[in-house]
Amino acid sequence: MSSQPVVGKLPSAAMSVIGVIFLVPFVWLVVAAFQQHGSLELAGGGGFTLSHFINLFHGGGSFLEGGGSFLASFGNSLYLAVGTTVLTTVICVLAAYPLSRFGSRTQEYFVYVLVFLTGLPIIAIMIPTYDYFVTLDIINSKFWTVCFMTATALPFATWIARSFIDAVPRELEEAAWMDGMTRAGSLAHVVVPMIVPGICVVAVFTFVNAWSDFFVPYILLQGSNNPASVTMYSFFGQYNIDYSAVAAFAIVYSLPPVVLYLVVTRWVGQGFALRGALKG
Amino acid sequence: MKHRHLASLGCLVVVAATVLVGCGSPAASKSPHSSKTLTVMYWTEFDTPGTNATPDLVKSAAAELASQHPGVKVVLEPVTTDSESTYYAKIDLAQRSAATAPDVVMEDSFLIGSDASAGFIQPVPQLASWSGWKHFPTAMQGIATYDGKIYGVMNSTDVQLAYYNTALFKKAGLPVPWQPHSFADIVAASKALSEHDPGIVPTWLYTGTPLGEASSFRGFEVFLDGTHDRLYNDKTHKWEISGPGFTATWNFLAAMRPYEEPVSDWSNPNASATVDLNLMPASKVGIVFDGSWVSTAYVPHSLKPWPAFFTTFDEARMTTDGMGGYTNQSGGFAWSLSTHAANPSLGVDLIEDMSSASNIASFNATDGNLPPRSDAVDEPAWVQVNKLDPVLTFASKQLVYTNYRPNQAAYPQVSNEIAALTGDISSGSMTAAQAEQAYEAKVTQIVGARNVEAMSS
Amino acid sequence: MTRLSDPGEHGGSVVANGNAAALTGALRPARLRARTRRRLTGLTMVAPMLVIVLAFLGWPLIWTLVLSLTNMTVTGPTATHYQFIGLANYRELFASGSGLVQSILLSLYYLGASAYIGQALFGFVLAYLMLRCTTTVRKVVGSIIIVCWLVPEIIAAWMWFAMLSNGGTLQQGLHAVGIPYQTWLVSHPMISVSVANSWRGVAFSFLLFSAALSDVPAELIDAAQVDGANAWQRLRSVIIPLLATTILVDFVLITLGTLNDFTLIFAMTGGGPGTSSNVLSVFMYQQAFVTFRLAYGTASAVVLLAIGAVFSFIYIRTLRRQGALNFAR
Repeated sequence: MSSQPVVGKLPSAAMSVIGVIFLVPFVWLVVAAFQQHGSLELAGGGGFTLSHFINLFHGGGSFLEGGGSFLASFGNSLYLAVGTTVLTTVICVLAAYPLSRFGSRTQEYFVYVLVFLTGLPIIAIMIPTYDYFVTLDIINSKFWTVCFMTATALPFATWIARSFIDAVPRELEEAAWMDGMTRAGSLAHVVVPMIVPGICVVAVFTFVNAWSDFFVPYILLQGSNNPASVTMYSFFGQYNIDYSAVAAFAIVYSLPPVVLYLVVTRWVGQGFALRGALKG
Repeated sequence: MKHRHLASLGCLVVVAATVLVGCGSPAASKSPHSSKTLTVMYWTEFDTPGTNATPDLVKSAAAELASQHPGVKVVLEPVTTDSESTYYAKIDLAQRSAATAPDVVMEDSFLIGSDASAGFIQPVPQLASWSGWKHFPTAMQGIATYDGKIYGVMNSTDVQLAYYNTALFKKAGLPVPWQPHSFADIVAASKALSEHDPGIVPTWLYTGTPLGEASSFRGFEVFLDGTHDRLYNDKTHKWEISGPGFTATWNFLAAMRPYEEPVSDWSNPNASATVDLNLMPASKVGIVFDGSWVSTAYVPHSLKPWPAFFTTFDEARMTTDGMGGYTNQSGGFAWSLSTHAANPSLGVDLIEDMSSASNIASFNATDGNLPPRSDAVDEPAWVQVNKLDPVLTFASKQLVYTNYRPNQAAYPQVSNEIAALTGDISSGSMTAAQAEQAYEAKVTQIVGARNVEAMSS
Repeated sequence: MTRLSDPGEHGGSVVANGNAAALTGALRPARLRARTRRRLTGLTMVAPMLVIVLAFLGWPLIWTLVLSLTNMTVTGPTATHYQFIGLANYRELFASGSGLVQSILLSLYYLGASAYIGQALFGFVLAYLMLRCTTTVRKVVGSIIIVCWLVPEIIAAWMWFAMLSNGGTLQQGLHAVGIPYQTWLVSHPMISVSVANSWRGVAFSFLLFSAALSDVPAELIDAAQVDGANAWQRLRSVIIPLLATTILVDFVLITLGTLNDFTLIFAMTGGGPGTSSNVLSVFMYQQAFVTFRLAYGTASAVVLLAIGAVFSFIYIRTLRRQGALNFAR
């Protein structure tokens, strides 16, 4: 049973104020995106217009010159994020199953290594990784960047997936084996359906991270292969910024993780909120 | 009840996997070097916003090359980065391996020595016998030369100018036209501007690491050029670390501290936009030390046309420190040949085509830099743009006074130290004497005690 | 508890647990084969992960250590002809004036301000207050906080950059009510990036604590209340001890995340003005790609790795003590 503290007016008021403060940065972004020529200031950017959003989908506008069109960088982000999510999810569930079910000394150490890798500062190995990718002649390739991003996502994903599989009672699988099902069969037909919420946690977590990843593609990709995060970064030091166009770009680029999160939490419900995942 | 979900998840996985495998061929995105294909790597941010100066130049030269060598293909490899230093890092990392190296590369002239010593670009002695070579002034040939060997052809260059607001000068009781003849003249004018109107930035100087190499180049070296000292002594092959000229330059920067832009302006990544788009049009700055391209942002058909610039601002030459005459310092980009080029002679042909008088004139007319080739100034494209932008004509005349950065492998590191020290002076965390001492120590550490000398004269 | 054997061990023999299966299984060839088969199945399933992690994390990790012992640069003679120089990079890093110590201190500042105060403590307060809010407030404000977390980091950096810039929204707002504003990005760069990182990251701790708080049994609180404990005493002596593990897990995870953070600071201040926000990750980048000393930058990356390793180690110990790593054998 959970505690149900008394609902008070004061906490509600305090939280409302905090909520409004959290919204402030978005206000500028949204105002600038719908102004004709927005600036750093809130007011005086001309009337309401949708043209900046429309321009994104029609050639990208002059502000993207050199960085490829909006659609191209958006497509690259999608490739990287979806690719990483799919590979990570499939591979981590496969790996987590034996780690959960076939306990042995080796596997115990294996899990330690996994948890250890979870804390690895990826940024620290990017310079040698660049050198390594150049040597293997796989630099500036979206496919191999996905492989690298998958490797960075796997330790945490596997660790989470394992804790979800641990929660599936063995008896259910045993019944399936009695019916002549193989290990792979019981994984696919018994375990996986039971851990759909867990898989969603892994998938959303991986997608959100991969979608927003900046440093890895910044180092491993260039030119027309750049995802939206790198394109976005190129606006920071630019000489002549069209703030409205960049704000529209930023909004569209921010939507997929938000929408995905909302859809998936609605779908898998309460169990989603990290709890099972991180409390082991 | 969960089966429906699982099924749709399964579909998603299958579809996504198919898409992934379908459109992402595991091969790296570049074709290997072939004797019939030339790849050209360049920095997209170098082009004036709204123009395609570099791709247009390469395409024009590629068409000429194709008429000489049928079947030859030129592939553009644009590199988009936020800052110049990231472009340098990107091209140098790309040139580590034959797989990622281009055939022809746009090199910032100050990296030619360093990249040549790294073995990234190869000497092209055959250029000496090319008919166009003699049209490049000695300084422009020298920029692209390292260790006595030619490593490329300058494509664009620039000089530094002192832009000053004539109205503010008149109000402050300063003479117009104005031409300083010593560092003290610049300090005095800045002081007068500041006293007359405390609300303006009297003088805008490049300073500090956020502005990168420009702080060293435009914020220190071009002033040092106005003394007897230089960063590097070509005769003794040693780095100069101190001397009367160094002292005068460090002292000048410290004296300018009360009159230069506030820290918030130069430490802002948008600093150049701050001065060009805000301070100058609002008449909020008296003197601006900057490159010769500033006016190109204001000509008709640019992104922010501002015809009044040409009546609001006038230009002064870069002065020596009381030695009489003028000085200057030039940078710019050159086209170089990668060590990994599969067909060097074809690469040289492309470089020669890109460096024709008409191509250089058209490129610089679009991009707002100066043609490094003396006969390019008579080309129609250049003549026409000079009618719109008289500052370019004035700037071209400064090329006779010009110097260039030492073509030494250690230069990028030394330059980085200078940029940091200019920032330390501007923020007040170091005095001129401390900066001078720190410079001696840092350069000695970088190049070794055997490779430094102090100027005594 | 008695459990059926898995299909690898033909026949319906009943074994108590994995250990017993291993013991008795070793005695008979059929069992041995079954165990080998089971191991093989396990290995096949782990193989894809093993290959990809070894190839893309393992080797770069080793290569990081190797490169840090050389004098490789981005350009110049040592770009291609680099030599092993032993520990010289590390000696230079730990010598005075290298800037490493300043960077470590800045990283610790960032950790303290943006992770421990701005995320863990603030996240706990939010979660605690949230339990006492109306459903509407809970839903709306909760969503806002989570959206801040979901927005790509580079966008968060851009919004805060715009907010805090000279002429930005904050200056405009303060100006309207007559308060002068000095560009924070310049005058207080560490506060700027810490505020931005707290705004972005607090949702993680908030979610973690919300889940843990809602699991605190009401009877315990009621019992404490009956004993006359006030709200603070209830929090201190009942709730916090129950949440001890969650708090530790949260601390370790946000520590690792914050130490590894690069994008936000790199985009907002670039480590400046000067070196005043040059945290370890930005220091590493600057050395490698701005001053072009690849190997030296890599050596500072090893320092970052070492610090991360200490916290990873703490994490593993916490999880072990908690029993999360116990293996059903």
